Amino acid sequence: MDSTTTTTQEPLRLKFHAEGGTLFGIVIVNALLTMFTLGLYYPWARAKLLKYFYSETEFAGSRFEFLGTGREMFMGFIKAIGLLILIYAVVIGIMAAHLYILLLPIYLLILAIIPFAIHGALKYRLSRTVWRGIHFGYHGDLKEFATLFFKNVGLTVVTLGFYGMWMSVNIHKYTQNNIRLGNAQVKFDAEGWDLFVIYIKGYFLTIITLGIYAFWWITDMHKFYINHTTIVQDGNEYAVSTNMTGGGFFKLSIINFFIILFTLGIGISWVRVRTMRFYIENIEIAAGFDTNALVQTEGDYKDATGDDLLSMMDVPLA
Amino acid sequence: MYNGNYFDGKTSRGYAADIDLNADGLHISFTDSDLKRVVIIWDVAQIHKGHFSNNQRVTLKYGESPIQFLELNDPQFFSALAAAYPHIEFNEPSSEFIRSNGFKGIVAVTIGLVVLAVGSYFFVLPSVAEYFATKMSVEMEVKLGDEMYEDVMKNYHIDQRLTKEANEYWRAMHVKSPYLVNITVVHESEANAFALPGGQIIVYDGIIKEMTDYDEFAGLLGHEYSHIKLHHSARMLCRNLAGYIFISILLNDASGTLAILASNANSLKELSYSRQLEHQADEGGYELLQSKNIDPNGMMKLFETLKKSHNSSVKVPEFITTHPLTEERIAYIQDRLKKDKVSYSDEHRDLQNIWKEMKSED
Repeated sequence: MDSTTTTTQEPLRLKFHAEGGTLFGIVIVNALLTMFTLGLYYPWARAKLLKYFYSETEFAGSRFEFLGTGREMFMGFIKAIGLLILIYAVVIGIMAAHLYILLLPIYLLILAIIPFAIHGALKYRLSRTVWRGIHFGYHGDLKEFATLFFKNVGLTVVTLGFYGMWMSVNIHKYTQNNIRLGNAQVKFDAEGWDLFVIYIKGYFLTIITLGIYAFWWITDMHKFYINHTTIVQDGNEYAVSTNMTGGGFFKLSIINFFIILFTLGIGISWVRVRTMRFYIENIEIAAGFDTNALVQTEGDYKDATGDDLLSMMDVPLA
Repeated sequence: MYNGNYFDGKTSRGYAADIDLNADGLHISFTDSDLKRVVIIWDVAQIHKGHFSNNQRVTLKYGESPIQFLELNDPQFFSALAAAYPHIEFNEPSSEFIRSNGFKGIVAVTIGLVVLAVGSYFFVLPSVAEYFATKMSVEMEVKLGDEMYEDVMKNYHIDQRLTKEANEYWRAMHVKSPYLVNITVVHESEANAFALPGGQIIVYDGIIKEMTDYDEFAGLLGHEYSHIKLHHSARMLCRNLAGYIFISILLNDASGTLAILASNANSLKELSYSRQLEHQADEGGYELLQSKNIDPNGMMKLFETLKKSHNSSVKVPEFITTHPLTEERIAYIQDRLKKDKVSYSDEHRDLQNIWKEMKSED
């Protein structure tokens, strides 16, 4: 009775088992400990949260596992916070000395941190992600990625933001194409134009419908990223897609809104779980992907600086 | 014997395995891909519990990378495991209080947390903030006040003539102070005035228009000066800042805290004093007038003026709401006047003259 053999013709789905009450407990304990330690507990709090979300996500009968530890993330946290304090000190110094002209290079410096942080975060996060013992991994090259990042940011600035769509697609493409699930790999194939069309359409329809269309707009943007993704295994491509609909997202948002309203914000954990479940359980991987054939290829990578930096700078990790 | 799925850490293929809890460790036996029967023994010391294993479902990890995994969906397994190996790491009771206490646990922790948060916000935080405020040197207060002043002034137009005369008026009151008091009169129809830490007092010309007697102005300056002298701004500043930090830590939002520390200077100008601090400033103002032999009735007249402007069509000054009710303030001054029963020389020619000039070109 080999229960993990899955060579069915059904598409594969993810399942999310988290519960609002449990999350609430974790969040409360995290908040208390972070408060009493004047913030030093923050990395452990994050590790705990990630461990919970990962372990409640199921694919083909097996849960994900986040192997990262508070200690690893603390080391990253210290480095990240040192860097941020240094930057703040320099900015405050510049303000005090009224040398405002020097703020520009500082902003550029802050911008320059982002690709390093994204690179480090992906490397750390994926290396610490395990499913059935198989480590995920990120194979992006820092120099290549930084070059791509600055080139795209430069073009976006020069085109007064118009190139922004191409920038997000290019960055997403580079990072996704370097993700490995053992010996399988993620592939993202789309062009800035595709996103641009969705953006323009969404923008105008949202104005015309006095904002109502925003739910469908967000859905289209999300679908764009998911539906252009495939997983390559042994030379075969398996499409990743999402069943998310604008209507579903609208319903989710409205109910979330009322939960927050009537619980005076305490229900935020339930809202978070509902939202994550919505996103995760709508994802499908095309039939044929062999969940038994992933082979271990990745090593360990334990430097969490990038991950901590991103979380402190409020940059979401795709 | 229990049934589970074994993953060897080399591929994602799961093997249906039989698990025995023996004295030398976990015996995992399964048929491998070459159809051979294999038994693997896990040394108990190297077994770790997967996260959030619960009584229904247990995930065990073994060794360093590549880590081997074992998944079991047997409600009996967890207690059997605990009984077989009582003294090892994975066997420690779950620290997740809420998981084991369910809905009641959630309610209890929520109430406890709210009480704790509210308690420390209202009782612990103020005294901590006050402590820091008293440690603040005059120079620091002045520097802070000057920076806030620069910022606040962006929104106002200075009335140069009234500013000059108001400062003359203050000097004529001959108040000895560690702070260099600087009064700025600005064009603003509201009847309002406020003090910044370190000696800056900002007076709206709206309130000067409403006042009739010179001693009312003395009362106003006395009140605002008392805020400065009693470090009220610094105290409120520390309190507000501490409040922000407290709330953002509570919300587990480190980036927010950092951002607030950097950008707070601007928003902190919208300080509002508590009624208690306002009362202290009234008291200080009264005593200042008394010590300078100026009739403290000026304070009362000031409140009457404020009350009038509150009732009339003039915009309600925002500080009315945080100030003690005007009636209460009037009653307090009346009380003091009755108790003190002192008569005041109504001379103060110099003050009267400056006041006349201030009112003359309205």
